[in-house]
Order: sequence, then C-alpha cells, then structure tokens
Amino acid sequence: MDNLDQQLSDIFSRLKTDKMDNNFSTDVMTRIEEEKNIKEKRKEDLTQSLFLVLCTLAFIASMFLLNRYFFHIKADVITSATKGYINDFAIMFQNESVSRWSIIVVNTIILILLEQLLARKFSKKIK
Amino acid sequence: MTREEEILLIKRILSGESHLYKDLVERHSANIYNLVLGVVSGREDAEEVSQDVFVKAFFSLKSFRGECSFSTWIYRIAYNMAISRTRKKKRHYVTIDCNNSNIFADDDFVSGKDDEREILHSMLQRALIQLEPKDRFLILSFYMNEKTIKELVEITGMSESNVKTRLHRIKKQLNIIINENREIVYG
Repeated sequence: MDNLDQQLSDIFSRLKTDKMDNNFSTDVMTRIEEEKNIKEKRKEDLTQSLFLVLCTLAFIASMFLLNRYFFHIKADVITSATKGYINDFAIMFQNESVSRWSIIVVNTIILILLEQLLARKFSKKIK
Repeated sequence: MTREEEILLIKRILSGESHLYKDLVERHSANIYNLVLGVVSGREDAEEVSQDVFVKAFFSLKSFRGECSFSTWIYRIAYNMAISRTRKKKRHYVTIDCNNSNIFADDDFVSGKDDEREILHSMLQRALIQLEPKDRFLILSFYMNEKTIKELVEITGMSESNVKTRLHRIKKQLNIIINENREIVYG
C-alpha cells in the first residue's frame, strides 16, 4: 500500500456512516411483509382465475355431452346455429350508418384507453 | 459471524423464521448504504435503493448457494440496483454540477482536526462526483468497505485485470484531481 492508498483509505473510512438508525431495518421488514402480502394476493387471484377457467371448461364440456347423449343434438346443428348468429351480426354491419357509428365508438374507446395508460405511466414517472 | 453461521441463519430464515432477516439487515445496512450513497448521490435515493436491495435480497434468498459470503452476494445486488438507478435517473457525472453536489452530506463527516484534512475531504467529494458510477462503486468498495480485488471481481462480474486497471486509473485520476485542487486552494 503506497502513500496515496493510505491517504484514500483514511479519508474514505472517515466518510462512512457506521450505523443506520433502527427505523431502517424496521422499514425493510415492513416492506417485506407488504410485498409478501401482495405476492400472496396475486397467487390467490391466479388460483381463482385458473379455477374459474377450469369450471367454465367443465361446464362447456358437460353441456356438450348433455346435448349429445341426453338430448341427442348433433354437433353440426350447434355449428350451423352459431353460423346463423354470426351472419345476423354481419348483416347488421352492412348498414352504412351502423358501421360508421361502430368505428366512432371503437376509436373513442381506444383513445380513452390510451389516455388512461399514458396518464398512469406519467404519474409513475413523476413519483 | 462465520460463513457457516451465516448459512445457518439463512436456512432458518428460509424455513419460515423471516424475522431473523432483521439481523442480516442490521449487520449489512450501513455498508450497503455507504456504497449506494456513493453511486446514486443523494441521501433519500440512497436510502430507498438500499431498502430495495434488502427487499430484493430477501425474495432471492433461495438462490443464495453459499459459494461466496452473504456480504459479497448482497453487494452484487446493490451494485446492479445502484447502477440501474443512475441509468434511470440519468445522473451521469457530466450533468452534475460539481459545486452544488455532495456525495456525502456534511453531517456524514467527522470533523477533522487539521484544516488540510477538511480541504482534502471536499476535494475528494468533487473528485468522486466526476467519476463514473461504476468507478465510484469500485473505489468506495475498495477503500471504504475494504473489499478485496477478488471480491470486486465476484461482485461486478468484471475480469480481475479490468478491476485492477480501473482501480489504478481511478487512483491516478483522483490523485490528479486532488493535486489540481490543492494548487487552487493553496494558490
């Protein structure tokens, strides 16, 4: 260690804070507890969503099986009915004023969503 | 605390006794704070980043395999978080007004007995501000927290020769800045 090393070590050791106040570790532990709660809540939400998806799938499957084996409705009947609904929906949009208003509504929704998104991002940056 | 005791403590924390983590925080908080303060320059920022470091370390504790000491491991987290904070805040050394910025607040100083030492302190602050955050981290870890070259290699992920070269360059740079300022001070 040369003279400069010694000098630097000496100065730096005098610059340092030797002990943090007690609040620091308490704050850290509080933040850890908060994070734990958030993670647990997220996990719970995810489990509930998965459960909901599984229930929906089971419900759809049971309806399908019920239709097929109890009411003896064939799958192609269901498909043709769905096709009919889609066609009805498509016909509605063939009207010029309906499609124009639909585009206006969709654009307004997109603009509102964008505004919300940007506002959130900016407020985060300011924080 | 030996390495074995540290690993045992971490195992107990992982097995559910999370309140024991407070011991680790109290043991390492001052060193982490000093280092982060040197890199991010600002007491509030430094305290926030230091807290983030300990919170992140807690949730990553499972990945601690005991290959290095806990201190080295948490320094690595502190290094990454402090550097990324400086990037986010764009506090590059060029944009800092050297006359108005203090890396260490005045009350962090233990007042020196002789005037020259006091002058050296302020010169060192100015010199540190002019360094890059990565270099500030290296020099502070080396001199303030007495980390070895080997530990610095583990913390920063740089090669040994890179760390040595950087330290040598910073030392020379600091020496020049100190001498230049000494001439200004003494005329």
